[in-house]
Amino acid sequence: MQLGCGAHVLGKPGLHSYDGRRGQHAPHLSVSLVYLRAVLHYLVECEIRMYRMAADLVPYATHPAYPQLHHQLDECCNELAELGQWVMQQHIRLSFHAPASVALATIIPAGVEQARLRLNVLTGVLDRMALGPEAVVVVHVGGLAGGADAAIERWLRAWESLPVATQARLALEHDEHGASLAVVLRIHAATGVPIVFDHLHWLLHNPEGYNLAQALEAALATWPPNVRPKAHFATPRTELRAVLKPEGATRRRRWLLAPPRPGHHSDFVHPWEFARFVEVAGHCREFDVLVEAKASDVAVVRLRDDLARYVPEVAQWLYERARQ
Amino acid sequence: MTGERALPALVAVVNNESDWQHIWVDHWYRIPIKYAPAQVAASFLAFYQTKKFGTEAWAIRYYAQVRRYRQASRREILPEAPDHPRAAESYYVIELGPLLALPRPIPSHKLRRISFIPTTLGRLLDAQEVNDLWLHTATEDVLWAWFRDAGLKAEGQLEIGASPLP
Repeated sequence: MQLGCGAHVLGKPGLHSYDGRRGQHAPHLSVSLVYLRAVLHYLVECEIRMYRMAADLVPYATHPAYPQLHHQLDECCNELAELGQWVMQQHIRLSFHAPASVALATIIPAGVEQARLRLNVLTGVLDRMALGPEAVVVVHVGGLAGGADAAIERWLRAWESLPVATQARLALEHDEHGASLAVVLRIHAATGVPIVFDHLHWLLHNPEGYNLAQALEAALATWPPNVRPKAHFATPRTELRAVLKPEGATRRRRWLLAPPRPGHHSDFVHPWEFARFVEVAGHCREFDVLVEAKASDVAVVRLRDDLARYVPEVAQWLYERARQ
Repeated sequence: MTGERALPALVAVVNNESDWQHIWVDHWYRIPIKYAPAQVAASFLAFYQTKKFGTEAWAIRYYAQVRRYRQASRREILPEAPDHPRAAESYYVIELGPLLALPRPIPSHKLRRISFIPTTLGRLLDAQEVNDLWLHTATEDVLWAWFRDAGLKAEGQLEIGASPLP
Protein backbone atom coordinates (compact mmCIF):
# COMPACT_ATOMS: atom_id res chain seq x y z
CA MET A 1 0.00 0.00 0.00
CA GLN A 2 1.41 3.32 -1.11
CA LEU A 3 0.36 6.51 0.65
CA GLY A 4 -0.02 9.53 -1.56
CA CYS A 5 -0.90 13.20 -1.32
CA GLY A 6 -2.78 15.89 -3.17
CA ALA A 7 -1.53 18.51 -5.59
CA HIS A 8 -0.58 21.31 -3.24
CA VAL A 9 2.58 20.23 -1.41
CA LEU A 10 3.65 22.12 1.68
CA GLY A 11 6.83 20.50 2.93
CA LYS A 12 9.27 22.56 0.89
CA PRO A 13 8.88 26.27 0.20
CA GLY A 14 8.73 27.41 -3.39
CA LEU A 15 7.11 24.32 -4.90
CA HIS A 16 4.07 24.92 -7.08
CA SER A 17 1.76 22.42 -8.68
CA TYR A 18 1.04 24.29 -11.93
CA ASP A 19 1.57 27.54 -13.81
CA GLY A 20 -1.01 29.70 -12.06
CA ARG A 21 -0.74 32.84 -14.16
CA ARG A 22 -3.91 34.37 -15.51
CA GLY A 23 -4.91 33.64 -19.08
CA GLN A 24 -3.81 36.99 -20.50
CA HIS A 25 -0.25 36.16 -19.42
CA ALA A 26 -0.28 32.95 -21.45
CA PRO A 27 0.48 30.33 -18.79
CA HIS A 28 1.73 27.11 -20.33
CA LEU A 29 1.83 23.37 -19.71
CA SER A 30 5.58 23.36 -20.35
CA VAL A 31 6.02 25.60 -17.31
CA SER A 32 3.63 23.45 -15.26
CA LEU A 33 5.66 20.38 -16.16
CA VAL A 34 8.86 21.91 -14.83
CA TYR A 35 6.99 22.70 -11.60
CA LEU A 36 5.63 19.15 -11.54
CA ARG A 37 9.08 17.68 -11.99
CA ALA A 38 10.37 19.65 -8.99
CA VAL A 39 7.42 18.46 -6.87
CA LEU A 40 7.95 14.84 -7.88
CA HIS A 41 11.67 14.98 -7.10
CA TYR A 42 10.81 16.33 -3.66
CA LEU A 43 8.19 13.63 -3.08
CA VAL A 44 10.64 10.91 -4.07
CA GLU A 45 13.04 12.33 -1.47
CA CYS A 46 10.19 11.94 1.06
CA GLU A 47 9.45 8.41 -0.15
CA ILE A 48 5.99 9.45 -1.34
CA ARG A 49 5.31 7.75 -4.64
CA MET A 50 1.68 8.57 -5.20
CA TYR A 51 0.56 12.03 -6.23
CA ARG A 52 -2.58 13.70 -7.47
CA MET A 53 -1.62 16.27 -10.08
CA ALA A 54 -3.30 19.65 -10.24
CA ALA A 55 -6.44 19.66 -12.37
CA ASP A 56 -5.18 22.96 -13.86
CA LEU A 57 -1.87 21.46 -14.96
CA VAL A 58 -2.78 22.44 -18.52
CA PRO A 59 -3.91 26.00 -17.81
CA TYR A 60 -6.88 27.41 -19.74
CA ALA A 61 -6.75 24.39 -22.06
CA THR A 62 -10.48 24.49 -22.69
CA HIS A 63 -11.29 28.11 -21.84
CA PRO A 64 -13.26 29.60 -24.74
CA ALA A 65 -11.62 33.01 -24.32
CA TYR A 66 -8.10 31.64 -24.89
CA PRO A 67 -8.14 29.47 -28.04
CA GLN A 68 -4.40 30.10 -28.43
CA LEU A 69 -3.92 27.94 -25.30
CA HIS A 70 -5.89 24.97 -26.59
CA HIS A 71 -2.94 23.19 -28.22
CA GLN A 72 -0.63 22.87 -25.25
CA LEU A 73 -0.83 19.08 -25.14
CA ASP A 74 0.44 18.78 -28.69
CA GLU A 75 3.07 21.45 -28.06
CA CYS A 76 4.43 19.45 -25.09
CA CYS A 77 4.34 15.92 -26.50
CA ASN A 78 8.07 15.37 -26.01
CA GLU A 79 8.17 16.82 -22.50
CA LEU A 80 5.18 14.71 -21.43
CA ALA A 81 6.68 11.53 -22.85
CA GLU A 82 10.03 12.21 -21.26
CA LEU A 83 8.52 12.98 -17.84
CA GLY A 84 6.22 9.97 -18.08
CA GLN A 85 9.20 7.72 -18.67
CA TRP A 86 10.92 9.09 -15.56
CA VAL A 87 7.72 8.67 -13.53
CA MET A 88 7.49 5.01 -14.55
CA GLN A 89 11.15 4.43 -13.68
CA GLN A 90 10.52 5.91 -10.24
CA HIS A 91 7.35 3.82 -9.74
CA ILE A 92 5.28 6.90 -9.01
CA ARG A 93 1.52 6.58 -9.26
CA LEU A 94 -0.07 9.71 -10.72
CA SER A 95 -3.70 10.64 -11.04
CA PHE A 96 -6.04 13.58 -11.51
CA HIS A 97 -9.18 14.59 -9.72
CA ALA A 98 -11.46 16.41 -12.14
CA PRO A 99 -12.58 19.82 -10.87
CA ALA A 100 -15.98 20.16 -9.22
CA SER A 101 -17.34 21.78 -12.39
CA VAL A 102 -16.98 18.45 -14.20
CA ALA A 103 -20.39 16.92 -13.63
CA LEU A 104 -21.41 14.31 -16.18
CA ALA A 105 -24.88 13.96 -14.61
CA THR A 106 -25.60 17.67 -14.93
CA ILE A 107 -28.94 18.69 -16.35
CA ILE A 108 -27.24 21.48 -18.35
CA PRO A 109 -26.21 20.29 -21.85
CA ALA A 110 -23.39 22.85 -22.08
CA GLY A 111 -22.08 21.49 -18.79
CA VAL A 112 -21.70 18.04 -20.30
CA GLU A 113 -19.76 19.44 -23.25
CA GLN A 114 -17.47 21.40 -20.92
CA ALA A 115 -16.93 18.29 -18.78
CA ARG A 116 -16.10 16.26 -21.87
CA LEU A 117 -13.47 18.80 -22.95
CA ARG A 118 -11.88 18.94 -19.48
CA LEU A 119 -11.78 15.15 -19.17
CA ASN A 120 -10.24 14.79 -22.62
CA VAL A 121 -7.44 17.16 -21.64
CA LEU A 122 -6.69 15.34 -18.38
CA THR A 123 -6.78 12.01 -20.19
CA GLY A 124 -4.53 13.48 -22.86
CA VAL A 125 -1.88 14.25 -20.25
CA LEU A 126 -1.89 10.70 -18.86
CA ASP A 127 -1.91 9.13 -22.33
CA ARG A 128 0.91 11.30 -23.63
CA MET A 129 2.91 10.36 -20.53
CA ALA A 130 2.19 6.73 -21.51
CA LEU A 131 1.22 5.91 -17.92
CA GLY A 132 -0.38 2.59 -17.04
CA PRO A 133 -4.09 2.03 -16.39
CA GLU A 134 -3.67 2.77 -12.66
CA ALA A 135 -3.26 6.46 -13.61
CA VAL A 136 -6.89 7.55 -13.50
CA VAL A 137 -9.02 10.68 -13.64
CA VAL A 138 -11.37 10.62 -10.64
CA VAL A 139 -14.80 12.13 -11.16
CA HIS A 140 -18.00 12.46 -9.16
CA VAL A 141 -21.50 11.80 -10.43
CA GLY A 142 -22.32 15.48 -10.29
CA GLY A 143 -25.70 15.93 -8.66
CA LEU A 144 -28.83 13.85 -8.32
CA ALA A 145 -31.39 16.30 -9.73
CA GLY A 146 -34.58 14.39 -10.54
CA GLY A 147 -33.54 11.45 -8.37
CA ALA A 148 -30.85 8.78 -8.52
CA ASP A 149 -32.35 6.90 -11.49
CA ALA A 150 -32.49 10.02 -13.65
CA ALA A 151 -28.99 11.09 -12.62
CA ILE A 152 -27.54 7.67 -13.42
CA GLU A 153 -29.27 7.75 -16.79
CA ARG A 154 -27.77 11.19 -17.57
CA TRP A 155 -24.34 10.07 -16.39
CA LEU A 156 -24.46 6.99 -18.60
CA ARG A 157 -25.49 9.03 -21.63
CA ALA A 158 -22.67 11.50 -21.05
CA TRP A 159 -20.17 8.68 -20.48
CA GLU A 160 -21.17 7.04 -23.76
CA SER A 161 -20.40 10.28 -25.57
CA LEU A 162 -16.80 10.30 -24.31
CA PRO A 163 -13.94 9.03 -26.46
CA VAL A 164 -12.92 5.48 -25.58
CA ALA A 165 -9.53 6.72 -24.32
CA THR A 166 -11.25 9.04 -21.87
CA GLN A 167 -13.70 6.36 -20.72
CA ALA A 168 -10.75 4.07 -20.01
CA ARG A 169 -9.12 6.60 -17.66
CA LEU A 170 -12.18 7.43 -15.57
CA ALA A 171 -12.72 6.30 -11.98
CA LEU A 172 -15.82 7.26 -10.04
CA GLU A 173 -15.96 8.44 -6.44
CA HIS A 174 -19.04 8.42 -4.22
CA ASP A 175 -20.10 11.69 -2.62
CA GLU A 176 -20.41 13.02 0.90
CA HIS A 177 -24.03 13.76 -0.03
CA GLY A 178 -25.92 12.89 -3.18
CA ALA A 179 -24.50 9.86 -4.95
CA SER A 180 -23.83 7.18 -2.34
CA LEU A 181 -21.66 4.12 -2.80
CA ALA A 182 -24.69 2.11 -3.94
CA VAL A 183 -25.41 4.67 -6.67
CA VAL A 184 -21.87 4.60 -8.07
CA LEU A 185 -21.87 0.79 -7.89
CA ARG A 186 -24.89 0.83 -10.19
CA ILE A 187 -22.94 2.99 -12.62
CA HIS A 188 -20.02 0.58 -12.39
CA ALA A 189 -22.34 -2.33 -13.19
CA ALA A 190 -23.43 -0.56 -16.37
CA THR A 191 -20.06 0.72 -17.52
CA GLY A 192 -17.21 -1.05 -15.77
CA VAL A 193 -15.88 2.28 -14.46
CA PRO A 194 -13.93 1.46 -11.26
CA ILE A 195 -14.99 2.97 -7.95
CA VAL A 196 -12.72 4.98 -5.66
CA PHE A 197 -13.67 4.32 -2.04
CA ASP A 198 -13.58 7.49 0.04
CA HIS A 199 -13.37 6.89 3.77
CA LEU A 200 -14.69 10.29 4.84
CA HIS A 201 -17.54 10.25 2.34
CA TRP A 202 -18.50 6.79 3.56
CA LEU A 203 -18.61 8.12 7.14
CA LEU A 204 -20.72 11.10 6.11
CA HIS A 205 -23.13 9.52 3.66
CA ASN A 206 -23.88 5.84 3.96
CA PRO A 207 -27.64 5.44 3.53
CA GLU A 208 -27.28 1.75 2.70
CA GLY A 209 -25.57 1.09 6.02
CA TYR A 210 -22.52 -0.69 4.60
CA ASN A 211 -19.94 -1.46 7.25
CA LEU A 212 -16.36 -0.54 6.39
CA ALA A 213 -15.38 -4.00 5.19
CA GLN A 214 -18.44 -4.29 2.96
CA ALA A 215 -17.97 -0.83 1.49
CA LEU A 216 -14.25 -1.17 0.91
CA GLU A 217 -14.48 -4.63 -0.61
CA ALA A 218 -17.34 -3.63 -2.88
CA ALA A 219 -15.34 -0.67 -4.22
CA LEU A 220 -12.07 -2.56 -4.59
CA ALA A 221 -13.81 -5.38 -6.49
CA THR A 222 -14.74 -2.91 -9.25
CA TRP A 223 -11.11 -2.57 -10.38
CA PRO A 224 -9.72 -4.90 -13.04
CA PRO A 225 -7.52 -7.64 -11.57
CA ASN A 226 -4.38 -6.23 -13.19
CA VAL A 227 -4.93 -2.65 -11.94
CA ARG A 228 -4.17 -1.72 -8.35
CA PRO A 229 -7.19 0.11 -6.91
CA LYS A 230 -6.93 3.38 -5.07
CA ALA A 231 -8.92 4.77 -2.18
CA HIS A 232 -9.10 8.10 -0.37
CA PHE A 233 -8.59 8.47 3.35
CA ALA A 234 -9.37 11.47 5.52
CA THR A 235 -10.75 12.16 8.93
CA PRO A 236 -13.13 15.03 9.66
CA ARG A 237 -11.82 18.30 11.03
CA THR A 238 -12.84 19.02 14.61
CA GLU A 239 -11.05 22.32 15.30
CA LEU A 240 -12.38 25.85 15.18
CA ARG A 241 -11.74 27.61 11.90
CA ALA A 242 -11.18 31.31 11.17
CA VAL A 243 -13.65 32.85 8.74
CA LEU A 244 -13.91 36.37 7.32
CA LYS A 245 -17.45 37.64 7.86
CA PRO A 246 -19.10 41.02 7.33
CA GLU A 247 -20.35 42.50 10.59
CA GLY A 248 -22.61 45.30 11.79
CA ALA A 249 -24.02 48.22 9.80
CA THR A 250 -20.74 48.91 8.00
CA ARG A 251 -20.50 45.29 6.83
CA ARG A 252 -16.80 45.53 7.54
CA ARG A 253 -15.23 42.09 7.31
CA ARG A 254 -13.67 40.63 10.45
CA TRP A 255 -12.00 37.36 11.27
CA LEU A 256 -14.29 35.24 13.44
CA LEU A 257 -13.99 31.74 14.83
CA ALA A 258 -16.53 29.22 13.63
CA PRO A 259 -17.07 25.51 14.21
CA PRO A 260 -15.91 23.12 11.48
CA ARG A 261 -18.28 22.34 8.63
CA PRO A 262 -19.38 18.71 8.36
CA GLY A 263 -17.15 17.09 5.80
CA HIS A 264 -14.24 19.45 6.31
CA HIS A 265 -11.01 17.53 5.98
CA SER A 266 -8.64 17.63 8.93
CA ASP A 267 -5.14 19.06 8.57
CA PHE A 268 -3.51 15.81 9.63
CA VAL A 269 -4.66 12.22 9.87
CA HIS A 270 -5.64 10.65 13.17
CA PRO A 271 -3.19 7.70 13.40
CA TRP A 272 -5.51 5.43 15.40
CA GLU A 273 -8.35 6.02 12.93
CA PHE A 274 -5.99 5.07 10.15
CA ALA A 275 -4.85 1.98 12.05
CA ARG A 276 -8.49 0.88 12.34
CA PHE A 277 -8.88 1.40 8.59
CA VAL A 278 -5.78 -0.71 7.97
CA GLU A 279 -7.16 -3.50 10.20
CA VAL A 280 -9.96 -3.89 7.67
CA ALA A 281 -7.83 -3.09 4.62
CA GLY A 282 -5.37 -5.80 5.59
CA HIS A 283 -7.97 -8.42 4.68
CA CYS A 284 -8.70 -6.88 1.26
CA ARG A 285 -6.84 -6.99 -2.02
CA GLU A 286 -3.81 -4.72 -2.31
CA PHE A 287 -4.58 -1.04 -2.98
CA ASP A 288 -3.12 2.46 -2.62
CA VAL A 289 -4.39 5.27 -0.44
CA LEU A 290 -4.42 8.95 -1.27
CA VAL A 291 -4.40 10.87 2.00
CA GLU A 292 -6.79 13.79 1.66
CA ALA A 293 -5.57 15.93 4.52
CA LYS A 294 -5.07 19.67 4.33
CA ALA A 295 -1.41 19.33 5.22
CA SER A 296 -0.92 17.11 2.15
CA ASP A 297 2.62 15.68 1.98
CA VAL A 298 3.40 16.89 5.49
CA ALA A 299 0.40 14.92 6.75
CA VAL A 300 1.63 11.77 4.99
CA VAL A 301 5.08 12.09 6.54
CA ARG A 302 3.54 12.80 9.95
CA LEU A 303 1.16 9.85 9.63
CA ARG A 304 4.04 7.50 8.93
CA ASP A 305 5.94 8.88 11.95
CA ASP A 306 2.86 8.63 14.20
CA LEU A 307 2.20 5.07 13.12
CA ALA A 308 5.82 4.11 13.77
CA ARG A 309 5.61 5.65 17.24
CA TYR A 310 2.14 4.59 18.38
CA VAL A 311 1.08 1.66 16.20
CA PRO A 312 4.38 0.13 15.05
CA GLU A 313 2.79 -3.08 13.80
CA VAL A 314 0.73 -1.04 11.31
CA ALA A 315 3.79 0.96 10.30
CA GLN A 316 5.67 -2.29 9.67
CA TRP A 317 2.74 -3.69 7.68
CA LEU A 318 2.65 -0.54 5.56
CA TYR A 319 6.39 -0.62 5.02
CA GLU A 320 6.25 -4.20 3.81
CA ARG A 321 3.26 -3.55 1.55
CA ALA A 322 4.95 -0.50 0.04
CA ARG A 323 7.94 -2.65 -0.87
CA GLN A 324 5.80 -5.19 -2.76
CA MET B 1 0.68 37.60 -0.65
CA THR B 2 -1.98 36.37 -3.05
CA GLY B 3 -2.53 35.76 -6.74
CA GLU B 4 0.20 36.39 -9.21
CA ARG B 5 2.49 38.08 -6.70
CA ALA B 6 2.93 34.69 -5.03
CA LEU B 7 3.99 33.02 -8.28
CA PRO B 8 7.59 31.86 -8.54
CA ALA B 9 10.21 34.01 -10.19
CA LEU B 10 13.78 32.96 -10.82
CA VAL B 11 16.69 35.38 -10.86
CA ALA B 12 19.33 34.22 -13.32
CA VAL B 13 22.77 35.61 -13.99
CA VAL B 14 23.76 37.23 -17.26
CA ASN B 15 27.50 37.73 -17.60
CA ASN B 16 28.03 38.35 -21.28
CA GLU B 17 26.68 40.41 -24.15
CA SER B 18 25.80 37.43 -26.32
CA ASP B 19 23.43 35.93 -23.73
CA TRP B 20 21.92 39.37 -23.23
CA GLN B 21 21.19 39.60 -26.95
CA HIS B 22 19.33 36.30 -26.82
CA ILE B 23 17.24 37.59 -23.92
CA TRP B 24 16.64 41.05 -25.30
CA VAL B 25 16.21 40.28 -29.01
CA ASP B 26 15.42 36.58 -29.35
CA HIS B 27 13.48 36.27 -26.10
CA TRP B 28 15.08 33.16 -24.68
CA TYR B 29 17.48 32.16 -21.94
CA ARG B 30 19.28 28.88 -21.47
CA ILE B 31 20.29 26.97 -18.36
CA PRO B 32 22.44 23.85 -18.53
CA ILE B 33 20.32 21.08 -17.00
CA LYS B 34 23.41 19.82 -15.18
CA TYR B 35 23.71 23.10 -13.28
CA ALA B 36 20.03 24.01 -13.04
CA PRO B 37 18.80 24.85 -9.54
CA ALA B 38 16.37 22.41 -7.93
CA GLN B 39 13.64 25.02 -8.26
CA VAL B 40 14.26 25.91 -11.87
CA ALA B 41 10.54 26.26 -12.59
CA ALA B 42 9.27 29.82 -12.60
CA SER B 43 6.59 31.90 -14.21
CA PHE B 44 8.89 34.92 -14.38
CA LEU B 45 12.60 35.23 -15.06
CA ALA B 46 14.69 38.19 -13.85
CA PHE B 47 18.29 38.95 -14.70
CA TYR B 48 21.22 39.83 -12.50
CA GLN B 49 23.76 41.65 -14.64
CA THR B 50 27.45 41.26 -13.78
CA LYS B 51 30.43 43.58 -14.25
CA LYS B 52 30.38 43.28 -18.08
CA PHE B 53 27.39 45.60 -18.06
CA GLY B 54 29.18 48.71 -16.82
CA THR B 55 26.78 51.20 -15.30
CA GLU B 56 24.02 48.57 -15.19
CA ALA B 57 26.21 46.02 -13.41
CA TRP B 58 25.61 44.30 -10.05
CA ALA B 59 21.87 44.75 -10.12
CA ILE B 60 18.63 43.23 -11.33
CA ARG B 61 16.85 45.69 -13.61
CA TYR B 62 14.72 43.61 -15.95
CA TYR B 63 12.38 40.66 -15.89
CA ALA B 64 10.16 38.82 -18.34
CA GLN B 65 7.21 36.48 -18.42
CA VAL B 66 8.10 32.86 -19.08
CA ARG B 67 6.31 31.65 -22.20
CA ARG B 68 7.43 28.04 -22.14
CA TYR B 69 10.20 25.64 -21.24
CA ARG B 70 11.74 23.14 -23.59
CA GLN B 71 14.82 20.96 -23.54
CA ALA B 72 17.41 21.01 -26.26
CA SER B 73 21.10 20.35 -26.81
CA ARG B 74 23.53 23.25 -27.06
CA ARG B 75 24.08 22.30 -30.70
CA GLU B 76 20.37 22.81 -31.40
CA ILE B 77 20.24 26.09 -29.52
CA LEU B 78 23.46 27.53 -30.95
CA PRO B 79 23.93 25.89 -34.36
CA GLU B 80 26.72 28.35 -35.18
CA ALA B 81 28.98 26.50 -32.72
CA PRO B 82 28.40 22.80 -33.56
CA ASP B 83 31.84 21.73 -32.34
CA HIS B 84 31.73 23.39 -28.97
CA PRO B 85 33.02 21.03 -26.23
CA ARG B 86 29.56 21.10 -24.61
CA ALA B 87 27.62 20.92 -27.90
CA ALA B 88 25.88 17.68 -26.91
CA GLU B 89 24.88 18.81 -23.41
CA SER B 90 21.22 19.35 -22.56
CA TYR B 91 19.81 22.73 -21.67
CA TYR B 92 16.53 24.17 -20.53
CA VAL B 93 15.55 26.75 -23.11
CA ILE B 94 13.21 29.21 -21.46
CA GLU B 95 11.21 31.16 -24.01
CA LEU B 96 10.37 34.63 -22.78
CA GLY B 97 8.01 37.48 -23.36
CA PRO B 98 9.30 41.02 -23.88
CA LEU B 99 11.75 42.36 -21.34
CA LEU B 100 10.15 44.59 -18.70
CA ALA B 101 11.88 47.08 -16.44
CA LEU B 102 11.44 46.59 -12.71
CA PRO B 103 9.93 49.53 -10.80
CA ARG B 104 13.41 50.07 -9.35
CA PRO B 105 16.74 48.30 -9.87
CA ILE B 106 17.59 45.72 -7.20
CA PRO B 107 21.27 46.21 -6.37
CA SER B 108 23.65 43.85 -4.63
CA HIS B 109 25.40 46.13 -2.15
CA LYS B 110 28.26 43.71 -1.66
CA LEU B 111 28.58 43.06 -5.42
CA ARG B 112 28.28 39.41 -4.53
CA ARG B 113 28.59 36.48 -6.88
CA ILE B 114 25.17 35.01 -7.46
CA SER B 115 24.05 31.90 -9.30
CA PHE B 116 20.25 31.58 -9.13
CA ILE B 117 17.76 33.05 -6.69
CA PRO B 118 14.33 31.39 -6.52
CA THR B 119 11.89 34.05 -5.36
CA THR B 120 8.39 35.32 -6.08
CA LEU B 121 7.03 38.03 -8.36
CA GLY B 122 5.89 39.99 -5.30
CA ARG B 123 9.37 40.02 -3.79
CA LEU B 124 10.86 40.94 -7.14
CA LEU B 125 8.59 43.96 -7.48
CA ASP B 126 9.10 45.12 -3.89
CA ALA B 127 12.78 44.33 -3.22
CA GLN B 128 15.13 47.16 -2.27
CA GLU B 129 18.20 44.97 -2.59
CA VAL B 130 19.14 41.43 -3.51
CA ASN B 131 18.85 40.18 0.07
CA ASP B 132 15.12 40.95 0.05
CA LEU B 133 14.62 38.31 -2.63
CA TRP B 134 15.53 35.19 -0.70
CA LEU B 135 12.62 33.04 0.38
CA HIS B 136 12.98 32.70 4.11
CA THR B 137 11.11 30.86 6.77
CA ALA B 138 8.73 33.09 8.76
CA THR B 139 11.32 33.35 11.56
CA GLU B 140 14.07 34.40 9.17
CA ASP B 141 11.74 37.00 7.67
CA VAL B 142 11.19 38.57 11.10
CA LEU B 143 14.92 38.51 11.79
CA TRP B 144 15.69 40.01 8.41
CA ALA B 145 13.19 42.87 8.99
CA TRP B 146 14.85 43.59 12.36
CA PHE B 147 18.30 43.71 10.77
CA ARG B 148 17.04 46.05 8.08
CA ASP B 149 15.21 48.35 10.50
CA ALA B 150 18.27 48.49 12.76
CA GLY B 151 20.47 49.46 9.80
CA LEU B 152 22.60 46.34 10.15
CA LYS B 153 24.24 45.26 6.91
CA ALA B 154 23.36 41.59 6.93
CA GLU B 155 23.63 39.14 4.04
CA GLY B 156 21.08 36.40 3.50
CA GLN B 157 21.72 32.85 2.28
CA LEU B 158 25.47 33.34 2.25
CA GLU B 159 27.35 30.07 2.40
CA ILE B 160 30.28 30.14 4.77
CA GLY B 161 32.89 27.53 5.44
CA ALA B 162 33.12 25.96 8.86
CA SER B 163 35.70 23.78 10.56
CA PRO B 164 34.52 20.44 11.80
CA LEU B 165 33.59 20.42 15.45
CA PRO B 166 36.38 19.20 17.74
